[in-house]
Amino acid sequence: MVMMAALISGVVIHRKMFREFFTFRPQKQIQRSALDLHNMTGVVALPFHFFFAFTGLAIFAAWLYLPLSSTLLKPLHDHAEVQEAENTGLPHERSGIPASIASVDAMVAEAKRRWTARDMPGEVGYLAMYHLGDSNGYISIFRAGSDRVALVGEGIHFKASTGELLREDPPRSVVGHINGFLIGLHLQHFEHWLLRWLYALGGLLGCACIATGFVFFVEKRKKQHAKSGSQGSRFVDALGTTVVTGILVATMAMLVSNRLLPSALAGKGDWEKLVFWGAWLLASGHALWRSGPVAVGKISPAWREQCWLVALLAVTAVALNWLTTGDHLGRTLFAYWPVAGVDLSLMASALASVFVARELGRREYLRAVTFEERMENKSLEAAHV
Amino acid sequence: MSDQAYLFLAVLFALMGMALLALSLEAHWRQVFTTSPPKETGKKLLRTLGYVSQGLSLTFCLGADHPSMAALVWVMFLAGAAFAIGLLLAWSPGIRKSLSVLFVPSKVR
Repeated sequence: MVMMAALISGVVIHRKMFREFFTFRPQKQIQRSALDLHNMTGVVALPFHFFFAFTGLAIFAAWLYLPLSSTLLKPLHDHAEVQEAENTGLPHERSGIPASIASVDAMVAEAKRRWTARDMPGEVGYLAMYHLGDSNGYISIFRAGSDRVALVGEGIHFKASTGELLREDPPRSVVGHINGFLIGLHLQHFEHWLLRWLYALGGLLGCACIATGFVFFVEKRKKQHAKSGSQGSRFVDALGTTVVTGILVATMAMLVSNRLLPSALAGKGDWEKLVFWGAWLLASGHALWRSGPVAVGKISPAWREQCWLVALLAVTAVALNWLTTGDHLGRTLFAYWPVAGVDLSLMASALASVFVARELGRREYLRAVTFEERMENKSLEAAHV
Repeated sequence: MSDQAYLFLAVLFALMGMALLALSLEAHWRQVFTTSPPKETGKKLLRTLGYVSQGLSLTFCLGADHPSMAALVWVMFLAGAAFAIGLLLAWSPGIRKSLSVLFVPSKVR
């Protein structure tokens, strides 16, 4: 909801949307170039940001935040369930008479034959057995949506004891199609490696948009706050560090802990979560502790230090994976992409972090020099007077 | 033609479309060329060619995938292409000059 509000207000504020569509001036001062990049990453991927915010709302508002029909309207919900069972002919209750089960393989083969006959051959995406071991038992087989955007569908239902066809779901209505498309594009069950990478690109553009927004916000107020002695921008800058580099530190720490904690440890997953939140909290403390220079209009060293930490942890995660599993890039590259992909992404993140850390170091130095020079000039002037 | 070939062409035309649209804006024309920017007709021509190129990109996407998937791929190609052209204009004068020689018809160049 907040993302949606931010997107709409961003479009309203940004008047020269089309004239400055491709505008990015990295050589200008940081406030200008951060705003350029904020506008550009926001606008070029606007459809992506918008449909993700929208479908997220559509899915989660209906199912998670407001599950009205199954809570507040429970009697009505239960009645509708029985009614639906009557309409579809699929038994709602167990009969109490025990029964064996016919060949499920044969049912799967029959379902596939029927999908092919409908000109949409496919694989099984979801198979459910109801009232198992009862004469009212039935088996529902749904087609996988891996070759399309929509999720599983085209259900075909068989009587469990005999394998006889009970019902074939009718084709989706137009509304059903749109609903399936919107939910599918958010949940991404499809097998399309290129589109998945394009989603990753969209996500990264969104991250850049949020981070540059933070930088612009702080840069705009930093000098005024330094003059008036306010600590406001210092606090926001620390929050920015926590959200941008701190979350990377936490993620990398979790990956490292995944390799370090023994696999026999009870509740290992919970420990990893604890490491994530703990590392994030520490990163936040570090950012607040080191944010002093922001109060006098300079760059917080926390940004640079956390970038170095991200690089270190990323390389450590790759090395630990090699040590504990024996999988290194020489073995996984072209042979086992899931592991090779994570390793390559970690190495790329480490490289990017080192680059950013060095660049930040250079800028801190430049600003420090000019600041000291300015102070020196001031004291010389004072002595002269 | 294979799916990969279709998608490759779709990327190419998305990039070209965005490059042409960028050149139809005076500020970006001056970044690329030393000559003065084209008059209204030239700008319109660049813009039309840009949209046509993006339309072709969609056509190639439809050649590779189911329409619902192709629409998503195309929207993301456009986003990526716009970002790539934006960075190109900002960072590498040499590359952008050589690219524009390839893509822009000599009449408006």
